[in-house]
Amino acid sequence: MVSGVMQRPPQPGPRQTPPAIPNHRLGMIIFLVAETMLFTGLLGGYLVLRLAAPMWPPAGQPQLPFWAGAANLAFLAAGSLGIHVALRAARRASHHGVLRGISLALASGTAFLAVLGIEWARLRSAGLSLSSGGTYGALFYALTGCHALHLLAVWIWIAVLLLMAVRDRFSPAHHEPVEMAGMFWHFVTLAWLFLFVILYVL
Amino acid sequence: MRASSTIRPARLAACASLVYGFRLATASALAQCAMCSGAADASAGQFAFSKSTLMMLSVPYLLLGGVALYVVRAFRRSREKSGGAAGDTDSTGR
Repeated sequence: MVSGVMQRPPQPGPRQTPPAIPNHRLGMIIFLVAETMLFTGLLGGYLVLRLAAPMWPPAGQPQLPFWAGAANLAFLAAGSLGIHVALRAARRASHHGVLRGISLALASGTAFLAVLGIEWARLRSAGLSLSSGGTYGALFYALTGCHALHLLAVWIWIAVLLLMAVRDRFSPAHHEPVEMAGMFWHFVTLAWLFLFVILYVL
Repeated sequence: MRASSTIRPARLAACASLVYGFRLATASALAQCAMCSGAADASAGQFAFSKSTLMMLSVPYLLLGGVALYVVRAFRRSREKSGGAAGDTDSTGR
């Protein structure tokens, strides 16, 4: 039996406007706020111990190499630039631009980790270790180690992005992973700027 | 027509009880932190503690202000964009 009821064509619903702040960006902002408080706590502990100490660095302990901190700051800034270039290229659908930007960020991150590793080895051979350096050594390794873990995380993230970029997975409509990795990278750069000033300059 | 800006007594009482509750919570926290308080009162660490506390206290406010500014700007931009789109629709008559 054939029903005599005709099916209505689907009616267009009310036009949906995009949210003022996309969910992925809001989530990343909340995450970065929490991360900022982590570094603030670490820096607060560092300031208490450093300002209360009669002499800094303590007698017999090596001075932190300024050049290493400055070089690392330059590497992170270059990585920030690379991610920015990649994001702009993804918005313009430039496949080569995305690859170039992400490769630059990845190389910068590798250079940062290499310089930090060399610096740790040099300081360790100069007598600065977690146990022998007292609070000086412990604070230095805790702050730079925590930062290096963050950079390692974003480095792995960007390596995955590079694989995705090789397969041309990004487009002007879909580039959120690059944007979020960029936000995290900029945060890591900013955190190093503060660490550099407090640890190496002051 | 805009609503009157006078504060209702019930809201005022709720705010006052909130502040009082916060004050009580702070007092109990201070009572449990006698050792920290004693360490902070020592002359050697007093300067260090106050500077560090100042730094750690300022960061949440800066973060809150920054995020609030970003949210306000994002909503304002979104409203302008949707207002512009509505204007376009009106002008075409559709």
